[in-house]
Amino acid sequence: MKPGKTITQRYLKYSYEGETIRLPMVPVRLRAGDGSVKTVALVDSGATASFVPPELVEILGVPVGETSSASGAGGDFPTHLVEMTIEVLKDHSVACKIEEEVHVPIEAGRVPYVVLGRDTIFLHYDITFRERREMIILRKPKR
Amino acid sequence: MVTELDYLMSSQAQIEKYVGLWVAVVGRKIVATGESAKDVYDRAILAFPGEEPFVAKVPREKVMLL
Repeated sequence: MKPGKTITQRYLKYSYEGETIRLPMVPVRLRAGDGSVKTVALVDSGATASFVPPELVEILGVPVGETSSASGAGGDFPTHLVEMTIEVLKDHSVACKIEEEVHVPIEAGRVPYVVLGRDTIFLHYDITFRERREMIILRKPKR
Repeated sequence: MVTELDYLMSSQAQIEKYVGLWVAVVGRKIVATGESAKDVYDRAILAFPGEEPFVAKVPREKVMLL
């Protein structure tokens, strides 16, 4: 069955050390080479690029590409570039396929999850963050 | 239809136990946890052959800036 065009997802929410963490995340499948893995991705309107943790690239079993770097609040950090397909999932079905070169930080732990920035998911969806309702809505734009 | 992410969100008390760790979910069950994503994934595949595990880290970061 073809998934609908709109994805509505509640924030991932839990408590840690007395604080509540709320994260606008969507389920995704990463594909590269012969490997694939299902995981979650933070939708980050402040990121101009997209990032995948090296721990997930290890599961995919693909060689990393050329060395690059990214700039963050803590300064520049080295990355590898890796071509992959990011499948945005809705109810276990693929709602959208995004083929893109992503940054993989060389240092493990730099990003704890996939970060989808404005170079990937924002080019495919109009995205609304409903912060007070702790909900993210992704709509396919009308052509 | 309940996805693995929906399952994690419905069980806050469970995921709070695994902050800082990688978890593998198959269906509605956390089937492996640990500090290595690959190890967690491999154990899930071994225990549930033919299934596609969902693997994620439960982040401890309260504020994350790249």
